[in-house]
Amino acid sequence: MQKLLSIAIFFLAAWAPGLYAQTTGVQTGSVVFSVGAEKELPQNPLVFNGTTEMLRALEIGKVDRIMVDSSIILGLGDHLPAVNVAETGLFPYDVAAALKKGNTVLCEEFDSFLAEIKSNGIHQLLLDRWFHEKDVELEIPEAAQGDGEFKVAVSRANYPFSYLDNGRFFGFEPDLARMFAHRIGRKIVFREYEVAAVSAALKAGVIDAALLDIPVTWERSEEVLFTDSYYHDSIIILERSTEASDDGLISEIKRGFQNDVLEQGRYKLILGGLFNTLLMSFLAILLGTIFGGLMAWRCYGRNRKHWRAFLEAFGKLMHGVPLLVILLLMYYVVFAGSSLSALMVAVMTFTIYMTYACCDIFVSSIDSIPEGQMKAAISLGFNEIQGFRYVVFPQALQRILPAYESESISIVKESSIAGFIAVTDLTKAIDVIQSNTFDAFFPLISGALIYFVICMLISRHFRWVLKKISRR
Amino acid sequence: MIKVEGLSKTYRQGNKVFPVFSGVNCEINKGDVVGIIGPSGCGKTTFTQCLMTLVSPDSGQIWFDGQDILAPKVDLNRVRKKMGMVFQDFNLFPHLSVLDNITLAPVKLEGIPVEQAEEEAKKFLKEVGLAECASLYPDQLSGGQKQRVAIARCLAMHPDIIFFDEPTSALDTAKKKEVASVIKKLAQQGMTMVIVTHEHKLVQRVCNRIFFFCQGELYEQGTVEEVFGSPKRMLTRAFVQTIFGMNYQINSRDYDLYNLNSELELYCTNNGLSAYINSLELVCEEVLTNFLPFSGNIYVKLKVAYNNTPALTILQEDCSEPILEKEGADEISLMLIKGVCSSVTDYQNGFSRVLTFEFNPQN
Repeated sequence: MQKLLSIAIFFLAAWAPGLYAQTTGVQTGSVVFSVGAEKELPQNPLVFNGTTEMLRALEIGKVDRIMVDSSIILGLGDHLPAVNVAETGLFPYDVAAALKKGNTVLCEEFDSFLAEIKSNGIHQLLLDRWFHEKDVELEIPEAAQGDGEFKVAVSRANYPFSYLDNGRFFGFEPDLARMFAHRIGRKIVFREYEVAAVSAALKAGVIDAALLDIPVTWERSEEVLFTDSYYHDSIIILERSTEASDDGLISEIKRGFQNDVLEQGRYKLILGGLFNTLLMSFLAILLGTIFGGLMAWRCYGRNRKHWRAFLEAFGKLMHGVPLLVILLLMYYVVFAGSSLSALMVAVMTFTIYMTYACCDIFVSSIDSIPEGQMKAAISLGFNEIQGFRYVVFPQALQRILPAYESESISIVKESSIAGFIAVTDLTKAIDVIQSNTFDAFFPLISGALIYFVICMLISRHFRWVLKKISRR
Repeated sequence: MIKVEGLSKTYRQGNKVFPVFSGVNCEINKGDVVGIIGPSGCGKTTFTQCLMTLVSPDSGQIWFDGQDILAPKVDLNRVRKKMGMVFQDFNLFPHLSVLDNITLAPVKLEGIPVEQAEEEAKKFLKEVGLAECASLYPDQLSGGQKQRVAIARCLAMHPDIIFFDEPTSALDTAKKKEVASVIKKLAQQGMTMVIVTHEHKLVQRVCNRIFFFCQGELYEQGTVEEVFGSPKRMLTRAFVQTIFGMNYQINSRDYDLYNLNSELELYCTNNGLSAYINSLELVCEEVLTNFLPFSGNIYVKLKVAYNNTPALTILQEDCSEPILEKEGADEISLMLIKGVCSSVTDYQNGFSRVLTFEFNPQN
């Protein structure tokens, strides 16, 4: 007990200074992390995944200052929380298109295209339209019906660089890409990608170019070929403003509902995300049950020893590696070069997990039924299949159902990691809305509520089935 | 009804071969109630499971109602329908009620309508005395009740023969009687039965024939009177003696007299010898306290057996002189002993001295 206490005190002492020191929020993948950055990084920065979380953290006082891309100010608009710009123009960096390493032909063509639009003023017009919010008379050529496709990776939620609205990509980068595709006489195809997946996708030839607001760093230049820069950016530091006001819970919910759900038909995004979550969970549960059942059946067949050894190894893998890591492996390594959609990869990953979980539940439940039950059935004149059908399985089912229920519920919740590979599930939809409205409270609360209701309904359903089959 | 010729079975584990039994020839006729007895691990259960075709023998033949049931292409499930089996640990189906346990096979296998099957099941339940338990579940029953339900479940398939695998071993004395009574009733109705058991009282109560399995063969068979009363072969005799006798060993002077007395009492009550408890206790106590050597260690083996009246044997190791008829012996004690015994002997057997006592009959 004393030992425990001293360990606790040690950790508290080590951690306590962090309580009072000024904390700085930084975003993952930010240029400030790249080797050779001129300015020194602040001590122990808190690293956030998205700008929204970071702004929210600043707003509620979890961090004192945040380092963000200067272009973010443009996206904030009316939603800008009570913050002050403390410093500007840090870490200046270039943004360029990423191409497959060695694809110099395309690179030269893009560079000459850039040089041309820079010299004839079109580039400036684009900048004015997207970054200075001016009404600009500029005709963007529609997709050319040329031979071949020009596949470009863009983002769904990075205003004003690139964003998705009503199924169409808008923004600075899609405009550039459309113009370039028109120039080289190819048909434009947009693909939604995360920056981390770009290198593998380029290598595999799934995309031709990535216009993803990617800062040029020499580390990245090792992996991909960068064109000339099409935008110059820098980092700014935002601080919490002292006159932050709190306008009460009810009005926050009201405002949240208006902004996050009704405005711009964002409920469609939520419904779409909900649909994807339900689809992934349903397919994973259905296929996992079928494959798990087949595998369990093999565990009682002629090669039972091998199948059981396989099941055990499978189990060790599933227990030893986080599902998220398996998902990332599947997406970025195993299926890096294939044109399988991210949704399919997610369904496959969850199916693999459910296959293991179901098989394990089935086998251990059936194993737990005493041997004598089958013997008794056979001595009454049943064959083995009838004995399983009428005697062993009904008993095993009562042990299967509770574990099966909890695995089904957990896969619904686990499916929230699909957002990591750019599947817009419910969690990702919440995330997108957050990044559009810069409001974290309402989307998170409503998301939690939706998950809770789904899981409760599943649980209710299982209780009902269990009651039905146990008959007493 | 069943004829077995040259039946052999071995178990293989890796390269090792363990013979279970070999060369078994026997016949079970309609109406027979055969008790299969023998020491543990001699193949009694495996033999019954062979007859039931739950286990396939290595060689030999089994005819059931004139049909060779080990021949290929025999529909074993149809054969098994005519045989029932009652297990030591009941093996009732815990997810079904008592009534459903009984009707499951008739409904699913014979296609009998549920109402009719239930009607019949109730009849069988009444026969085993459990009519009021129809709607209960197995875990609400006592052991004896479970076993009787298992018997009813067998009966519902109208078997020609029922095998019992240690039907009363898992039960206490009172419950044993419940089950034994049901088996007895079935025997009186002419049901052919084979009972594997360790309990000679069950055999004496319900069986008409005995198969004694020993040393991997059907060592001796005959009627109950023949095998229990006058066993022909040596191992049978030894086995019968151990099951009907009681052994007690004393290794030091600090023996536990109360424990010995309670063992004697238990043995006498179990074998209907309650009238002899006092005499037995008297003789044991007198001999142990007054006649054994006063110096040195004592190693005494006590053995009680009975054939109508009990006989007590007391054996003192490493002793070469008479125990009872020695000089300075306690004469009053000797008189007390002789008062309850019809015969007392005291003889030398190798290095040991053996005393035998036969007791006066008590009505």
